[in-house]
Amino acid sequence: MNCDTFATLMADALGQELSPGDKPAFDNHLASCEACRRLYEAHRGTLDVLRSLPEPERIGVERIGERLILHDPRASSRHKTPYGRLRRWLPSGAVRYAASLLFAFTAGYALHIGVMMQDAAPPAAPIDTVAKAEPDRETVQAALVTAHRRNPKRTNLAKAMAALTRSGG
Amino acid sequence: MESANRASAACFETHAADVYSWAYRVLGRHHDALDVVQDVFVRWVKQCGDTPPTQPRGWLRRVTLNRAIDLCRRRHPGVAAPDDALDGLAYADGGSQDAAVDRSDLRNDISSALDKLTDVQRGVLVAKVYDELSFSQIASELGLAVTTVKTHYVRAVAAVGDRLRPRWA
Repeated sequence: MNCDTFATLMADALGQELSPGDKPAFDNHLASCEACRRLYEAHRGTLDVLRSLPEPERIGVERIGERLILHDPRASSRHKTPYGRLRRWLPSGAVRYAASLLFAFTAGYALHIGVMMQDAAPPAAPIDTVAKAEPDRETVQAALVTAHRRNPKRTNLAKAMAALTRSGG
Repeated sequence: MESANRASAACFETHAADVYSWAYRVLGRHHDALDVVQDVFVRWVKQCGDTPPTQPRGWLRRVTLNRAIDLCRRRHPGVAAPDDALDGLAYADGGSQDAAVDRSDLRNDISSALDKLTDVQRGVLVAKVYDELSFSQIASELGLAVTTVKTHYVRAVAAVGDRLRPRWA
């Protein structure tokens, strides 16, 4: 094989389509011709560089009614949240609207029941009518006596006790 | 009109993921690639809605790569476009920041190397390297002879290698 024939088979070899019949002659020339080997290896290196980029993600197409929508893999990862799953589960606008109405009706009904139950409960006593327990005289007197015993120098306490005793008598 | 719309929708369903993948390989940014998907299919509806091309996949690959290259030129004139990998969006593979920067630089270099190819060379290279089609499949997609496709392939690899080799190979 000469260099011209080698060049015609180069595309097949680089594209991995070299026929088994041509392969031995191609390999022999590659081993014997320095210039052709260098050229072939340079091209192989270029292809390796081109293939070294990672594969892009595959996007899909979703058919919703009459619409075709690109199914974005990154957006779909957002659907992994509970709200996202709900949105996927309720794709149609009409269904979402019906779900909103049902939710609003249920919430309103629950509120109404709550108000009704509150009305049915026995009325609480008005604050004004709550009788404030008036301390009875004996208790006050006993407390004053105790305080005076603990601290006899406090004359005001003694006067108050005397006044209380007088009015009680 | 109805049948044309249905055919366009079927084309979108079948090929949208591939269009995204081709665009992402050039652009390296998720949202830019989605923009290209939208542009390409708008163009499909305008140009091919009534008379679809005989090889829709070949048409889509050529238009997508051209559109992605245009976007590269327009959005980042002379400036390296930051890759999704730098935002931590695309590949959460636990790689270091340095690796992400390298990957972003490599993608920018590959994009600018692809930019220098002719439309046909670019289409052949992407179909062979990334879609792993055979030369005969590519030839039938592009309506070319198999030997012509092989010639374009080797020339494309050589041209890209000239730009990538100083830094990467």
